Amino acid sequence: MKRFTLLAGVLLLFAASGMAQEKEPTKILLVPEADAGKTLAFTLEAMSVIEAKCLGCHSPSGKSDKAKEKLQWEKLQTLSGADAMAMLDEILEVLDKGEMPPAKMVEKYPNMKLTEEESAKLHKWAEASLAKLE
Amino acid sequence: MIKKIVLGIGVLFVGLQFFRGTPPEVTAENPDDLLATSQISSEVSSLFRTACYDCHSNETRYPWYSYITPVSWFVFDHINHGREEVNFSEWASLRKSKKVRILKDLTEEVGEGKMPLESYTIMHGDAQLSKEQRDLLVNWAEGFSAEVMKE
Repeated sequence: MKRFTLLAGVLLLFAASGMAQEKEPTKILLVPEADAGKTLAFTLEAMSVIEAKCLGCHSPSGKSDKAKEKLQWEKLQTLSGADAMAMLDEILEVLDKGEMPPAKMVEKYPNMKLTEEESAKLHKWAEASLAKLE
Repeated sequence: MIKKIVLGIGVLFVGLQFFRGTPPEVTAENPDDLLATSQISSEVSSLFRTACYDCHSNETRYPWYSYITPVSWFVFDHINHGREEVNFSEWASLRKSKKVRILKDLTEEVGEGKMPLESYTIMHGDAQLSKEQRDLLVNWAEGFSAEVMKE
């Protein structure tokens, strides 16, 4: 019985540590506007949305290769000129069409859906960044 | 029995022709068109017309078979989708960032041989681009993108 209790305790501890790891926020390397030099900078309100809704897939540790290939926010900030402009244009289009996060993802995790307010924050950031480049 | 099946298929085929769908509109006057509003060499212009314009402009040339159902469904849908992605007839009215993005996509898609689509070049042999023609378009797009950036 003691052994069983001990084993159960170890398993419980293991599961709890796993859950704790899952809940740990993704460490992001986004450059906030205040610290930016020539890189494409992020406003704090845009960063909060990106961290909560986008980085799960669009970061080096993301699970989907397709998503990583399409966009990695950390790499985006190193782009300049035409490359940055093209990517911002695509981000705006995706936001306007409501294409992200993908419908399948939202179906599975409804809380991942971008609210109108979140979408507006990203839109505002992308438009302001484009204006600087144009 | 075979006669009845053949007759049935024939009746179905004729009946389908009443559900051809609407071909995307063709317009002769396109004041915002890329080739009309930009200084582009005749060689590059010619490549655009033969390899891109059927799906990515308002100047689509419909081959006779595109009006036959069910081919029409595929062709019309394909052209609608192509114009939605990129329509060179609307070039001058596009935002600068969109122009830059289109040119960037062009260098990638054409450079990697993904465009024109194989499903298109099978029926349009003249749209099949050689390595030299791809290079010509890619080099042009890179140079033109730099010009657009200065606008």
